[in-house]
Amino acid sequence: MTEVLDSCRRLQPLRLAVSRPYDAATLISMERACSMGIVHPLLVGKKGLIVEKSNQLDIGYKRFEIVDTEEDSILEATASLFHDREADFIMKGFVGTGAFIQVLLDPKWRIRTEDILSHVGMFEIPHTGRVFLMSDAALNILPNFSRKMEIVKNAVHTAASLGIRKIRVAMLAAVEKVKLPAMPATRDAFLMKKFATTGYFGRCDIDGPFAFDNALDTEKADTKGISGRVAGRANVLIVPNIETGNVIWKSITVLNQQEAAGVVVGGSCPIVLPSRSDDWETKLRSVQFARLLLKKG
Amino acid sequence: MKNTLSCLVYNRPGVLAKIASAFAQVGINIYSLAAGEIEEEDKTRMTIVVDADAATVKKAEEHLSGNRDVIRFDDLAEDNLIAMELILIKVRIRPKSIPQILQISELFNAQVIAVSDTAMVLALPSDEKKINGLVKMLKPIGIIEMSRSGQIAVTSPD
Repeated sequence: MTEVLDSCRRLQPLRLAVSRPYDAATLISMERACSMGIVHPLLVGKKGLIVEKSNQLDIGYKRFEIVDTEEDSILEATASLFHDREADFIMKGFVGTGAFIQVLLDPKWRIRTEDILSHVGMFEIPHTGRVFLMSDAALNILPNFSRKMEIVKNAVHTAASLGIRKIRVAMLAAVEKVKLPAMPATRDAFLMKKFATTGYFGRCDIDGPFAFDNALDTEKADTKGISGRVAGRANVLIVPNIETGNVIWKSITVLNQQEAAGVVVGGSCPIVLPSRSDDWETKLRSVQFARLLLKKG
Repeated sequence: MKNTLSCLVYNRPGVLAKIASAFAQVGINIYSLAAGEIEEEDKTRMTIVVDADAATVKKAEEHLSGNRDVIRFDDLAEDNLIAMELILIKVRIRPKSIPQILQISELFNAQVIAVSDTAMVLALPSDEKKINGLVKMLKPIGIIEMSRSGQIAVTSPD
């Protein structure tokens, strides 16, 4: 994962507008991103607070551009920087996801497109170096089939933007067979596989339903007699709902102490949307992820 | 005109034939008929939707009045009626039509109860209008088979 994300070092720095960067993790991640030469941060918030916090952390704030803004207009100011083409992409600092997204969704900022917004996470399977994406663990709560189609589309597009050649999408559920009416996720997974034959998602393989292990581990898939091009070799996982995604994410990062990165896609620019409790490394990884998707320079 | 009748009978052989015969004698066409045991196992409630006016229904009631198998016969007024039927509908799946079928099923709150490579079965317990609407929407996509339970009804709670 480090190798994939660090490839953004080859790219020119782009301007990143960060709202309320008052926490240590956000400021440290900005300092590191600056040092890597991948972004030029525009920190939107109360200048006094940003300077004070930077001094406490011994971070040279002068390398950042601070957009001094009153508390009640920080989110709008962040969005308007993108709208006025003064920023190339956007990041959430110390602010709730709901409030942040609500402001960005206002059509006047032109951040929304006709596509839906969805969140894509990036992880690595320990000891293998294999990277996989997962969507959606943060935005779409209980997507219906139509919304899942768009989540898959965004995730496939993201994988293609990262340069993944053979995109293998696994639709996750708890079991590999359709069980109705008890497990509607199995139905959607089965039907998504069929729908994918229309070519709607472009060049990729989509299969399901899969349990988590059989999607990523060929040995486990073989043991269960699950075959196909995706079984055990998936590099994009689509979870049936936000709870499943959130639990997988936290299991990987909290229990397994693995790195993760996350970006909101489907808008006019990638949106870096870390959790306020994420450490600076996760925030930096997420900025790198977003920078790679912009592909300018 | 459609009338919904509720007929409480003893669960014995030949009862249905007697009721059908009484209806035939006065020229009533049965539109749908659903029957099932009630909380007392020896009794069955039949909900019969007929194409007849109140006077003709009254005549059928008179024919049945001496019948010891018939416990109660009510012509249920529409404004005092809680009625519902169930439809099971099997539709053909083509990859392109999958989102459309699922959108229609969501629109009508129908449940997908089975899927295969070639077909999907939807179930919808609802009123007649909504069920007719579902059928109308799915017809162009390709209905393979369908089955309607016929209306069942109880009187509204006081």
